[in-house]
Amino acid sequence: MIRKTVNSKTIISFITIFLLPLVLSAQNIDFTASCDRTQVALGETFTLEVKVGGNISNAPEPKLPQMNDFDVVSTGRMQNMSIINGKVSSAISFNYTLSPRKIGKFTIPPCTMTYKGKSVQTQSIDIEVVKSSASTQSSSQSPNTVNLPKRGTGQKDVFATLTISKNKAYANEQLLLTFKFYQGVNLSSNPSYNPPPVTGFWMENLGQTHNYETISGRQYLVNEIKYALFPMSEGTYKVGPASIRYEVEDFFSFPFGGETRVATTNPLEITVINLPSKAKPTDFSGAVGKFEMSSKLDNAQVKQWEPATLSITISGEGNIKSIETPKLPELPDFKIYCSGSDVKSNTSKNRIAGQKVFKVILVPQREGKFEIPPINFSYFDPSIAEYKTLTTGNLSLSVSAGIKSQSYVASQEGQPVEIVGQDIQYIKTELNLKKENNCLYKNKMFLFVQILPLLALLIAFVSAKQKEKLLTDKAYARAVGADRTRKKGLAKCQKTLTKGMTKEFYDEVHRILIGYISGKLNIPAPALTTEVAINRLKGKGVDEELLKRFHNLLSCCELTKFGLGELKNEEMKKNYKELTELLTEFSKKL
Amino acid sequence: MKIILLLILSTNPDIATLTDANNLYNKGQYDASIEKYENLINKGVANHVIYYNLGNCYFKLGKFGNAVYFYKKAQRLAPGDHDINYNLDFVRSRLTDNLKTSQYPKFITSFIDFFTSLNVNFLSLFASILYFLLVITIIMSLFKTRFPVKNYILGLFVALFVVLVVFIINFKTVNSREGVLIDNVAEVRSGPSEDYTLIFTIHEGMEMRILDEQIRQTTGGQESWLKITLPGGLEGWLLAEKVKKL
Repeated sequence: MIRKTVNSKTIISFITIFLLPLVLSAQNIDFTASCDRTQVALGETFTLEVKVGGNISNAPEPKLPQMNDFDVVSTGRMQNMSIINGKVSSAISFNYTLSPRKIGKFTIPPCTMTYKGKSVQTQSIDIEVVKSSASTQSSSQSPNTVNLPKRGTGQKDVFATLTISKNKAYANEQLLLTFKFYQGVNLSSNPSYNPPPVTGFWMENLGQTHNYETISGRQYLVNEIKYALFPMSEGTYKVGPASIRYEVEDFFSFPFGGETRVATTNPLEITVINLPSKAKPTDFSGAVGKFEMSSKLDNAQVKQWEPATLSITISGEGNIKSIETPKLPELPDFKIYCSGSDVKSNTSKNRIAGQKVFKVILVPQREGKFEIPPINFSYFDPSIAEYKTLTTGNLSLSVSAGIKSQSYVASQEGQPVEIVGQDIQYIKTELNLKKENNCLYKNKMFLFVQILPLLALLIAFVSAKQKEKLLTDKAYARAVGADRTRKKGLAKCQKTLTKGMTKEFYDEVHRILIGYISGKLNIPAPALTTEVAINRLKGKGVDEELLKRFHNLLSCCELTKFGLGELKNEEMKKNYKELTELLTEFSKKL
Repeated sequence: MKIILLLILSTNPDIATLTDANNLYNKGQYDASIEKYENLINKGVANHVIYYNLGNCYFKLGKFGNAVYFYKKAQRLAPGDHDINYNLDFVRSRLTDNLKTSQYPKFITSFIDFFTSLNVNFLSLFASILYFLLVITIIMSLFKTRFPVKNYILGLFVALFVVLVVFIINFKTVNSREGVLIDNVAEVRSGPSEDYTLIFTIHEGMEMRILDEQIRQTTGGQESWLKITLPGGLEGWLLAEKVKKL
């Protein structure tokens, strides 16, 4: 019984151990939402970031919940993708700039997303909206403080106005809001400015200027602060009033600063109407203004599996930041990755203008020549109240055969995984502590070794010369040979002498003498008789006494050779000494 | 035996530092990793592996100037190393300034690449071996052996000549005075002072050859100016402190 329960427990634990990873791998998507802060003041904006991570290549945009307490001011999308060791990981974050509508505690409900039939949800976030207090305002608005130069004359009116370029506008149309501060008197300190409270609009500061204006004969210093306003949705909205606090220079209160006054502008009312639904292009995604579009490929010739980057540039005036990626045509021969966009905006002529570049990575799956069909982009031009559609030209891309080695084969479908992210090569992990330099040529040992072949060459050259002389110059060869045979012979003599072999001894002595002389005189040995030798030696200037000794020794040898004389060992020793003496004498003379 | 060897290796403090540095890199603590690698270099242990890893750390920190500098240092020691060349090209492609690549057909560039990828030490050794062989053949020919060595002399001589020429070229590049711009931006002027006309500006990671250096006395002390030339042939002067010399 006990045994049975244990078994069933093990089974359950086994099941959980084996099944848990499966469940986890199925939910491989990381879906989170976060806010940059939890407390905001009314009139301020905060960012809601919804992050989608995991190995998915093309995440759908998450669905934002219905939010009654916040306005979505702008949206943005950021994508990071990388392949490390064949593993795709991607992180897309969708950023929503939210602006609260009223004061209180609110909850942002969970965002949902459906990916491959599965629905995922983020957690909900609590946000507290507080009243914009004076202290927070003065600190947050301090960069907006107007810097007015002091003027020394007069003491008259100070007032402010607020104007808008249009009272009736389309949603997303760019409007110009101008705040003007007229100053006819000297102010004792820099005025502090409260920007107009704006709800329902996305506002962007265009900067400030100052100039002089004359109104009914009076000259005022006018400070202008300009904003671009983009209405978010249909309705009637109030803008303003804006106010400015300033201190007037007063003679009596001079040492303590002036009297504080507030100039308040007129409020404005703007009616926002929806864009006409008539003749609305299907691909319209909310761009309002005046735009131009161009597209280009970074490389018109690529290899199969190698990425080409298609950049689509949209430039012009309007809500350039919130433009979405134009819809791409169907390209079945390519894998398509949107790698994000890049916005450059400037504020020229009181308008927000700029350009947004969308980068699309195309990875060809086949070789061949391809035409990338025109890309369409629609926008609404409020100045003529019409929709316009821009079209790019055809782009051609030729794909040559490429090596597939750069792609990794995924496990199931056998489809290649393409390179979408690039990174540097990993560090080298070998534990190499060798000291390296490029100075082998400075190494003394190495340089010394280089001299050896030269020495060898020198020696070889000399000995080769020697050998050549021996071969070509017979006389020299004989002379050298004579020396050699003499040395060899003497050694043999010594041997026969100690052994007491008389006959052999005298044979050898005779041979040595004749051989030596024949070598030195350059006469072949067989042709050299005693008489010839003596004659020749005489001619060489050898003295009589030496010749006599030479002759005696030779005849002594000949006598023994023919067995005519039996000589004693002592005699042999004497003769050997005589031989060596003679040879040294000859070597001196010849 | 192997275990003993490992024990000896692991007790070596330099090995420990290198392992630490690699681990810190893996954890993404590139600053700390850089410190460890530089400790090793200061101790005199410097090789292409350490320089390359340092380059990687600086790249990860977005300091492309230093990354280029260390990759180039590594390349000088190991010119044919694939990883080094790949990463150097990768950083160069991320730089603000576009370095012009050569316009020659591919087979010529790969031919040149092959020769420039040879290490100076290897070339000196190779030249030395050829020189020994040449001397041996000459000696053999002097003694008129039956082996027809004379035919080889010319071949060896030509080979030695080629190797020596390659050696001289690579030696010159390895010993040429090069620098990499470390600052974000540098203004290049027509002379060694702020008073001269601004000719062009270059951005971090730009590689240059240094032609001359001048020290100029100013009111605040002295400043050093470099005369440089860029791969495209542009020339000018810039402040030496902005450049790290190889």
